[in-house]
Amino acid sequence: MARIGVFVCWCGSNIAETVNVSKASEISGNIPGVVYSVDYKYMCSDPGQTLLKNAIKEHNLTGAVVASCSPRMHEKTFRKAAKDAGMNPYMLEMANIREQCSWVHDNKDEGTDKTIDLIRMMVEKVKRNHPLEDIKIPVTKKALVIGGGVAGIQAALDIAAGGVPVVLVERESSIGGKMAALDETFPTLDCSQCILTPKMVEVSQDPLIEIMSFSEIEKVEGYVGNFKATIRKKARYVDTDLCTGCGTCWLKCPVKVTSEFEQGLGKRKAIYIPFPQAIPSRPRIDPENCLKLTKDRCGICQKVCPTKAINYDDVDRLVEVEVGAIVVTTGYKIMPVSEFPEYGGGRYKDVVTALQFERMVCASGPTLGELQRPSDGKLPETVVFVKCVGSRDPEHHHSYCSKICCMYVAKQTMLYRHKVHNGNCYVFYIDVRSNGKNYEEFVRRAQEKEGAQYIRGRVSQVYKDGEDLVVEGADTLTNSQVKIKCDLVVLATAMEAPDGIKELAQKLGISYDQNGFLTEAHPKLKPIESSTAGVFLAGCALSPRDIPDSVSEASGAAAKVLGLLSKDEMHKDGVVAFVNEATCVACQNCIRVCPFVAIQLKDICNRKGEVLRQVADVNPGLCVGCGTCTPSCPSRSIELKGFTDAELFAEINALAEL
Amino acid sequence: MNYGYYPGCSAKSTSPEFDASTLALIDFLDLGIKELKDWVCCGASSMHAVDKIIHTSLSAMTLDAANSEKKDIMVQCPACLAHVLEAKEVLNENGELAADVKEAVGKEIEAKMKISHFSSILHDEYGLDRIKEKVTKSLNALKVASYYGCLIVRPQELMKYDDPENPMKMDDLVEACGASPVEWPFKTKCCGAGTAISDTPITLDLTYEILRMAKQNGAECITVLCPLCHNNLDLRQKKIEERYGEKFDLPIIYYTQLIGLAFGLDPKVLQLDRLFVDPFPLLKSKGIL
Repeated sequence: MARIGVFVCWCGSNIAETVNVSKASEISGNIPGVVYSVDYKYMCSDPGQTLLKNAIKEHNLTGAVVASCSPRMHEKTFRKAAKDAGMNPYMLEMANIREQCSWVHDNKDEGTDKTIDLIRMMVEKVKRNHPLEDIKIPVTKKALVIGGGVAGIQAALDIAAGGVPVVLVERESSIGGKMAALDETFPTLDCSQCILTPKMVEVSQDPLIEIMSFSEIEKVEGYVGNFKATIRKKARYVDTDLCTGCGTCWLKCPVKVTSEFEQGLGKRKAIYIPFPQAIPSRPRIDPENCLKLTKDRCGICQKVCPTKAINYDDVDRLVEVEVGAIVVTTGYKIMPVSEFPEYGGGRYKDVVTALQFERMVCASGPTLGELQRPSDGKLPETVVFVKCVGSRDPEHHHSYCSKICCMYVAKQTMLYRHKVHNGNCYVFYIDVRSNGKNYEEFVRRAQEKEGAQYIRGRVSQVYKDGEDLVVEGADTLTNSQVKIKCDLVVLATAMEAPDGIKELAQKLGISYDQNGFLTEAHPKLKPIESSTAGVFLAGCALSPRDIPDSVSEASGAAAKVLGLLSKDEMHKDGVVAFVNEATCVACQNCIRVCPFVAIQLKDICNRKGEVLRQVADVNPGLCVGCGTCTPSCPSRSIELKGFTDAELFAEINALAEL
Repeated sequence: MNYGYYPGCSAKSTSPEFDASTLALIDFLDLGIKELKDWVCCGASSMHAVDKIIHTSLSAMTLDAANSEKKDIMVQCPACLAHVLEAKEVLNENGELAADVKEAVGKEIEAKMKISHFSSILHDEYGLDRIKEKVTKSLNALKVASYYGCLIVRPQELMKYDDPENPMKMDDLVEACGASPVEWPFKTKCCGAGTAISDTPITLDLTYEILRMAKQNGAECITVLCPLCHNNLDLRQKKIEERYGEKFDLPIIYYTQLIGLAFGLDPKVLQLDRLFVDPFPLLKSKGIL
């Protein structure tokens, strides 16, 4: 026999003003099966919870209904109290008489009647409830970080610092990302490589971090705590174990091609490391340009390699790793100048991206820091910077702000003036956005002390007039047209989601926005969680960010990973789907509709191990209890624990007084 | 190809050579295109700023003229082109303005016809290869700067003519005729036609820049497709030379005239003698005439 207790909460005056709580409690006491009913001012308070616990014990209750606020508010609170008193927590239900009654009604009589209806419904449900157990999921104490830029590096280091092994996957042949290509960083002008490379070395020396460079994610299966990732280690043609990074091969390689790392401004060999501080400092062969691989000629690198590390027959290899959590730090790409023909992009060599400008002034760049314009090597005496190129331009390109351009342009004007003391530099801008610590001061320094001339307005056209580039634009503060002859034009082109991000997101089951940037689970309160449990996000994969933001998010994501992996097993709500194997005919409707890929077919075998038939089978680790599967079943063979047909129809019948 | 020719008012007044050379090409290539009987002035360059309904109605009447002959429309003047395309769009969107136009014109006008610029017809429909076959008198690597002006490419969504930053159709056409197109940045720079009467110095400044840039990039002549551009570059060239103390001597030749020359048509028929900057010394020195 059910012995149910009903606890009606006043919620101060929130409920009591519109509901006659004592009457509701009194009438509830007459519902068959209810052996105890009471009203109390604040059920969620400590004394309220004690009242609940004592009643459970004293009256030997088998179930309880708390009529108060929304279950979203306090279901956890009351179920925990019930559990403390020795009751299965799933035998406690809440009747929402606040949000769904007192707050939306003003007639006290009607409010009271409705309250009693709501209580009666829940009492009938509780009578049919079954005790449920939380689901325990074992956890693989290892993490996967996808993307080896500064965010990925930071996340890997922080996770490893917590004692959890990390696999860091990077699709290029070295970690370091975009930051490795920068010259100096705002707002302190410290050298980017000087602050990044120690971190890169730290990663390579950490025994808990395994770097998989020149590798990409092929497939991800499983669920929070238990992911299985297949990683494609792309053919490198160099055995990274044998190779010592001595550099003989790339010194002797006769093929010179355009360097991606140098943004097309410098050369590299066909066997190469992208930059001298590369981690791992192991080269790869570019199969599209290698003479041996394209024409079966040369072979010099193999001949000169002292450790016999060159393998021209190398192929892609797939490796599987099991991890408990994933951090996605896939970064960004910047729009190439060729997208902007109105600014002469792609037509004039001296119209460059800001990232190209970084390489042009960087001491480790193709000119070793000697500023030369690409067309003829001339020292640019006048430089024009154009901001918001492709950003904040919904008509043609992106409506979003790329966030970091205001700051790096200010920085680049300084870098330029430090190289060319008498040089002229102009900046076309829409607004100057400098909302970070010491950022505004930094921009003011560029404008007031370092001689950058800011012109508020957009550029209409860049063209070549003889040897000069001419920038035509508007100065909207003086309402005049401006025409500037210059030697070099730097376009602060928009940051975009990197190539392949959508495919990766689909593999991970996480969402992305219309711009291809990954979507956070909540823009304010879950800014580094993805929509999939166990997958965390950091850095420019989410949207344009600067280095400090990327690094802090990476540390945040690492903390989330460590929290998740700190326990041996995870506990999960017991509300999951279950299958009646006796009636299931394996029509697979539920499998098709499940958004979480939590249902699969399972074989039913006889004692000899022969397959008799198949049935649907729910993986409780993946199931989130959304209930999408239950209405899809033609034979009512799949149901949601805690929300079975019997339970739900009992509620409806109670309302209809059937 | 089922086009009716909409010459526009310039072709019938200030630019008869554009009209004549167009008709000569139609005839030579046997395109079977005839002038629409009842075409109407599009109202440029003032009506679109004065009264939307009258402005759209004028072009709607030209659409109606094409309908009554069951023709698509071939246009030469970029302003005419913009306005008939706009009228077509207005009528097809069928909003308030379309209702006003219907009332003004006094009838419902269907706007299903194709509307194309003659250079697009030559380039895309007739085809560069067939043009090459017809060339009997190569333009002998004549260095031609193709100047498209501002109207033909803008707004891109309406005109759908070519890359608005670097159109190539005229370049391709004259190249097919043996000329060497000049790569230069001012193909679509405004010539200032809008202020030619009201504030002439602005127009002179703008046109000067175009002439200077063409010359600087090695052009021996400029080819155009807009009668107003032609006016400014050709008619005012002398004045500009005086004003800036710079000699250009750049013949401004309609693309139809250049193509006609390559087809071996009579310069008289192409009315090359009507140009203010005399093209004959250049054409002779290049062995084209």
